Amino acid sequence: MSDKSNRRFEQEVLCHLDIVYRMALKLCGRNAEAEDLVQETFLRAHRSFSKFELRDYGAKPWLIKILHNVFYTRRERAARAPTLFDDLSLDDIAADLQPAADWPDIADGVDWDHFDEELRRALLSLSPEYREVIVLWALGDLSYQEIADVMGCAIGTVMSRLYRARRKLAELLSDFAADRRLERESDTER
Amino acid sequence: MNCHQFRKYLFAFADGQIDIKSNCDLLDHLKMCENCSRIVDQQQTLKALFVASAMRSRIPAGLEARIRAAIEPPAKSKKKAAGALSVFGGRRVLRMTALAACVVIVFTGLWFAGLVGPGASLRDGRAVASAAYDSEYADLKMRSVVVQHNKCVERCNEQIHQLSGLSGDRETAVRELSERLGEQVAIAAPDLSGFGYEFESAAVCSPSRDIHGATAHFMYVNHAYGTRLSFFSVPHWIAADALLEGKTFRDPFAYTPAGNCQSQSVVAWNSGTTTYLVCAPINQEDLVQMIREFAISLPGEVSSRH
Repeated sequence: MSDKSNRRFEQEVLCHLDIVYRMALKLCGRNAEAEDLVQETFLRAHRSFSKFELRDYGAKPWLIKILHNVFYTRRERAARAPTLFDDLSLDDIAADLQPAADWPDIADGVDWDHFDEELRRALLSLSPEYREVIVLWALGDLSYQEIADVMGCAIGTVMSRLYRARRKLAELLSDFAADRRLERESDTER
Repeated sequence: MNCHQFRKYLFAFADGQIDIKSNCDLLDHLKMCENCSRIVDQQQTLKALFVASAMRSRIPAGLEARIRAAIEPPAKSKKKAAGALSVFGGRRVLRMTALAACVVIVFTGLWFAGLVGPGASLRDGRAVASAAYDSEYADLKMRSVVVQHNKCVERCNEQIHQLSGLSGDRETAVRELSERLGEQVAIAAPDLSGFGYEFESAAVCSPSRDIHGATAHFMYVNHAYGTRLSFFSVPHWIAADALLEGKTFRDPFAYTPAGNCQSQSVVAWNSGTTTYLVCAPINQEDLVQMIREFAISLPGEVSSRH
């Protein structure tokens, strides 16, 4: 690859290193594995950079697609493997939605070390498809259609996977907030 | 709209995936329904906490260096050269050395003949390549601003650009949007009537996906020419820093993206934590002149906040 092309690669692609690393870390939950994922993602991106066409929104969606492929290749799973329970309709979701009773108040302060560990566990308890959809949604800043393109599935599947993943994380947050409330109450009683 | 109907689109609404018109219908329900409003708040907190947790992890030291080392060409070419020397015998090396010597002699001759020299050095060649790349990079970033401007012009034509609940008066709209979007962005919307552009509408429209955070967009219209001008106040556009670094309203970055049949120019500059972007079908020198004049008249609005 020429100097010019390498410079373009650095400015257009390597600048996304931080977000790709954070996504990889949330996907696999372990630093060493995340580093390997990221390195392989960037090497693959570099190899195919000459075929990459500049688009309005830059290289990020393309890079995330490569990360997705590397992630699934490593797990030896087909990216398009159908999963059960992806057929939720908007009516099912609407009927199921209720506000959580306990919810953390960010302004009240968050015990981040505790929260990070709880979040890591909750993510690892999700199947890879659900874990990935929530990582793409929260960190990738992608539209539902772009997430569907990355994951190779229909937009409806993205929405129902995202709903289930969010519900799982919402349970975690609600439990987390309830624990904090109980801690505060016991502190007050003392 | 009842709760069941609203909740079908609640996630898409909370994620900003709904078009402006439907957004207004959903907002109307949200204003009246405490339960649905709580669910939306909770979903937005969930995302905020997830992002905040991810941002706490730092990139391991040396990871970027390892990636750079793996992709940089010099190491590869040295390896190839070493491989070539070991594969081919001494005769081949001698031939290559002789060829290199000939090139040096010819080059020296041309140097003295004045055909090549300091004015036509390789370094200049690289500068040309770099300039070509920079324009490609500028095209990529600034074209997205033009694309957003054009989308919003269409919305204005359909009269669906104004954000629901905002005042139709420019100064009040600035104040109301500032209250809604918080202090992340120092929102500005100058008076451009002296240039023939009247304030038309205000909305929250981001000109690029790599801008993180809420963006204020003010649209102006020139009734005499039927043209429109966009003024965006966005959170510091880090991805465009290579273009905007050191650019202020006194010396803004100006660009007319290639392949832009209406010759729309974009003028941009940073001020504190805010990046300001202006887009209009106006010659870029004239647009810069406009920016200078109104920005200088706006020190209290733009520069003194930071």
